[in-house]
Amino acid sequence: MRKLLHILIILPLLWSCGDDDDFFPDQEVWPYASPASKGMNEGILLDFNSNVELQNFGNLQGFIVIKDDHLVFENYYQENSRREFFPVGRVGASLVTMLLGEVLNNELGNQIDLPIYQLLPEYSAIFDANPIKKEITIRHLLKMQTGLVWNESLRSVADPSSDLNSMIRSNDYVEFVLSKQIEATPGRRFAFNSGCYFILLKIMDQLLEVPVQSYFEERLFQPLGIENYTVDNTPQGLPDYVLGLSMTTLDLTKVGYFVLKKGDWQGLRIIDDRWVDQLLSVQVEISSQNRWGFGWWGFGEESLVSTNYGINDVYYLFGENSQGMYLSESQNMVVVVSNGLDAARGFNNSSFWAYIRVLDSLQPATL
Amino acid sequence: MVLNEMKHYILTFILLLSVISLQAQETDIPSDSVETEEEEIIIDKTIQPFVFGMFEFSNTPQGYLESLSGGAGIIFKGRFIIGGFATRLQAPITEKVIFPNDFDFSFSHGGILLGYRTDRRQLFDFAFTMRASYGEAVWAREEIGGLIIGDKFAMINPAVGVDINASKYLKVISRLGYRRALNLSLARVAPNDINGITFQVGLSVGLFNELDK
Repeated sequence: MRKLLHILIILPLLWSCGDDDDFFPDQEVWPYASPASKGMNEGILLDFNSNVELQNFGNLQGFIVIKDDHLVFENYYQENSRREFFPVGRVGASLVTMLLGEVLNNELGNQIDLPIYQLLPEYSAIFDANPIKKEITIRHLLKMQTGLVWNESLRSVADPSSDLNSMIRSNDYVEFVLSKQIEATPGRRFAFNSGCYFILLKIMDQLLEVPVQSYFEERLFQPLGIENYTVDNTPQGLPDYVLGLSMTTLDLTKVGYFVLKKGDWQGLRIIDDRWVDQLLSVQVEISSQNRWGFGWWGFGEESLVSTNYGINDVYYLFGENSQGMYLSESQNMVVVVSNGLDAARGFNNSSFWAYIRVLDSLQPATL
Repeated sequence: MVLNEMKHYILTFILLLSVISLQAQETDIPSDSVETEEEEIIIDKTIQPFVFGMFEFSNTPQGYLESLSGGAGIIFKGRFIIGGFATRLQAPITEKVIFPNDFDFSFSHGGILLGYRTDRRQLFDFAFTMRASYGEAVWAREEIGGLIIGDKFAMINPAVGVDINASKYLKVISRLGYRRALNLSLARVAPNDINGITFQVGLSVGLFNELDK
């Protein structure tokens, strides 16, 4: 009888005091607010939402808007949810450039103009074979002005004739990129080249005393509260943050917001704001439509965003599957678009047009 | 911290029950030794299993709404109640927590039920109960259900009430109490949306003591 009573008391106590780690908490990184309370036209956003549900915005699967430090829009499509990991594609390269500044500062005394051949002794044969390549500096990698032949802007990753496609199939990404022919003096010609980020990752690996992944974990993911993500490895065993990172849309939004706040996360300074300023400032005027910072695109003076909406400080990233991240300091706004892999649809500009609908929703008073 | 606070409440209540139990044993022993022996035999050997179902009216983010509660337990020594229960909010609550979706609110918890009741063997008995539970409050995206946000919480709910002993097998039970959620943090749900007076009414079916005639 007493044993039975003890069991009856202890079992519910144990059960009631237990915890369930599987439960997905309300992270509430940002307080929730209605778009209308932040001066946005909800009718336009609802219309946009309906169109995404009808798949009129390509394969768009996750969409978040942070306006004035509040989460004003968050939705997932095609049966996806907040828990879902999406491949972030090239957007992940922003993590590399973000942490690079700190590594350069700590290990190289900010020598951004240091020739990379000095940091990559195992590839000395490539540099010795073509001495012009010895002029390539860290700055050239960041500005995408290596002078190496690269057709990534013209061909999709799925195209076997694309350099990026060939690089992914190679055994050594860095060797593949550096082995490309020189078509211009380094520092002269812009050619978007994701391979540059792999070289930067390799340099970080050479300079750091800890594994790159541990460094990213400690300096970025943990402070931002990004606990769940997956990252592929390059054939050399480096974490592929450039093309192989998958995370939730909400966590990706944290990265964008973190950049918007110049490396400050909830009062904690993680990245030097001067480095973030360098990342976002115009380094290359590509055309009247587009600008390039260190790893970030900007809209030019004659772009739709500048001419129709009068916003001149939008920085953005996009991936092969039209993933996108758009920041504007003057609007205090971050827009993040997640897309699933869908090679059949090919490249589309859906994240850009989704962003345009958000700009449409901004009422004149807030512009 | 929440669990410690909850354990504190539970242990305090168990201590209280122990004191009451000792007092009850003292008062159950009359001066007549023969009658005492019979009385003790009846009291010590009696285990009254029961199940119950109740409607509960309690505070929610949209005011007082009904929940459904059920459980099972035993009454031992005629007076002490121990059991388990589970409660789930029944009334629909929908809000646009995060634009552009409507979210359905759900609220459920379960745990242990401890109590003390009189053993008058008359039509009415009086009871004092303490429920200590653990549960979750969740906003789930309507229809799709994918975007789910929520929080776990602990809860205590002391209550007093009256049992109507309808028969040896049936009681009508009612409780008036106060509910307090511990460490619940969820958008659009303030602590005072959950804390507050509770009223429960329902039926309990079991193998109870015979009423005195």
